[in-house]
Amino acid sequence: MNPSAPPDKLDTMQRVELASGVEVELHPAGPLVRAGAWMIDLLWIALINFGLLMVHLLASFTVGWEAGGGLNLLLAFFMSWFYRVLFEVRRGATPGQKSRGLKVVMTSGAPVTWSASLLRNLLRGVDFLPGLYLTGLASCLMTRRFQRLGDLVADTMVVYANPSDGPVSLIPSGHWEGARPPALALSREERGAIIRFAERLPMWSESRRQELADHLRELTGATGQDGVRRLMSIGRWLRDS
Amino acid sequence: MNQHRFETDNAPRWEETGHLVTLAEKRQWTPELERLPALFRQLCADLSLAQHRMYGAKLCGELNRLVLRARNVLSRSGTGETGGTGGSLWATFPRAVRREWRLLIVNMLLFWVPFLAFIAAAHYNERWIFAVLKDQDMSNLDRMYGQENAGAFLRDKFGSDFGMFGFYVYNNISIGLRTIAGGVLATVGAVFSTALQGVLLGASFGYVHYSGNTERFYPFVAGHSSFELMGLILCGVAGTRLGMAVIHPGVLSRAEALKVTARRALPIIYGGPLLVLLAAFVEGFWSASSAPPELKLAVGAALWLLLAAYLLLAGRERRA
Repeated sequence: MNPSAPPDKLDTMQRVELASGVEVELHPAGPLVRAGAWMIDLLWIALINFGLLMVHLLASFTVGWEAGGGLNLLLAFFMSWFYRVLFEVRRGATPGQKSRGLKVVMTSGAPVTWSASLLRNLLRGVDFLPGLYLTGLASCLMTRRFQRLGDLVADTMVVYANPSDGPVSLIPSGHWEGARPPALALSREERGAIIRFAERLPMWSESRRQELADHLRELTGATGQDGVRRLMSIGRWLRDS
Repeated sequence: MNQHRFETDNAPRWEETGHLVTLAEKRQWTPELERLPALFRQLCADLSLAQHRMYGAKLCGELNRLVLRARNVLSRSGTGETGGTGGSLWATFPRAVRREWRLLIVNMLLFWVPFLAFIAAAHYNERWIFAVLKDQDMSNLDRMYGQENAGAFLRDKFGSDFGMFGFYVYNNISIGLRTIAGGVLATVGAVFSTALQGVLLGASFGYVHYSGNTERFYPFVAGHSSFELMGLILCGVAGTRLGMAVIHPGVLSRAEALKVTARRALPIIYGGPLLVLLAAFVEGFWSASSAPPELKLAVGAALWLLLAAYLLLAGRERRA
């Protein structure tokens, strides 16, 4: 649990303080996207097992059926317990996780260690109980970082490798009438909110923009389209001058 | 300073930092990389500043990502986290086992009581055996240790030795690992698994006493018995230890207690399955060999003593 996070926080961002004192943000991945990654991994494992079957047949013809069977069981043992560990530690993510843009990290944001990866995959079977990862799902929903039991024990979490940060950075043209200072003195949070409004503007419909800008009619002195335009000008002023 | 100037002033430095981080990630060591720690500290300051001044999400996100990447190449070692076991496993494993002596006793009882009870029960009434073992199990036991076709259990080729080794690794270590994992469910999985092994093995021993040839059976199992049984019992210790963190977390939250306990139990989590692996080697390549039964029994006893001495004595701090 992160005591510094305000209890009423809406997003799932996890703030982690590094040794250098700076706080970085990690973006934990929820159960749904991880389920997708898991299914892709299942396909990979099936493919690899098929390849191993070929190896098994080949080995059986060269060293005999009994030794070939032993080799097959050794490989099956390796695949069921260590396939994910190998990828998580060497690459940061299994092929399935990678394809969904996820990776496994320690809760400190550091790369996952051998022991941690072994632990979290050791407990995979328990998280799967009584079927379809129901235990893991319950655990995910009860923890702030979407950790299943294996993640809790190993002190790991699954995060988005490249958290997307809003589609556009520059305040789009056509929405302002030139930079213009706000009529009131604004706090730091208020200034940040206006800049973020300006950055995210292209994501919304016109009516949604106006609805949001109307909340600030005391600041802009206008509603509707004019309100949006004036708010954008203030945003421009806050950012650029 | 506004965001625009902040960006244009610092962008070249961020670009250089990003370039160096990419080099380090590809493990291409160049002399320029000596600048990375200093650049990293500056980058951290930039990120703090950007966060404090509430510069846009894009800039903060970009810097955030770069800080994380730089940190990961600068501090690769995993010490302090769920990293190493705190020294070599050779010494930490027996130390951890001795620290958990109470749970070791509990798990010993969990295994040995049903084991011996089933041997005794089978002696008086063989129906106990049939209640537990499947027909398949019993015909396997008959084939290996039955009264007829003496010597069928001797494998004559390396191929079948290796085949059995693969089977033991796949089957026995998986049982051990599942025992550890099942312990997280408030010890239930581990307790059940350990006791079940006691029941099944006790019934198998009982069956051999009932209808088999013990003179063939004991020389076969003697060699690997110490490693396999103690390995499974220690997997039970690791599992119950994890479960105790859920049952009795003490002053910590349950999640926190699980994390701390796993780190402490790590040597046993590694050591238990490794013992079972060792047993698979012995069982695969020695137990079925054609060595004389007396020698096999002697080796089995010696390995028990050796294992006991290792768990009791190894890794002790030397007193001055």
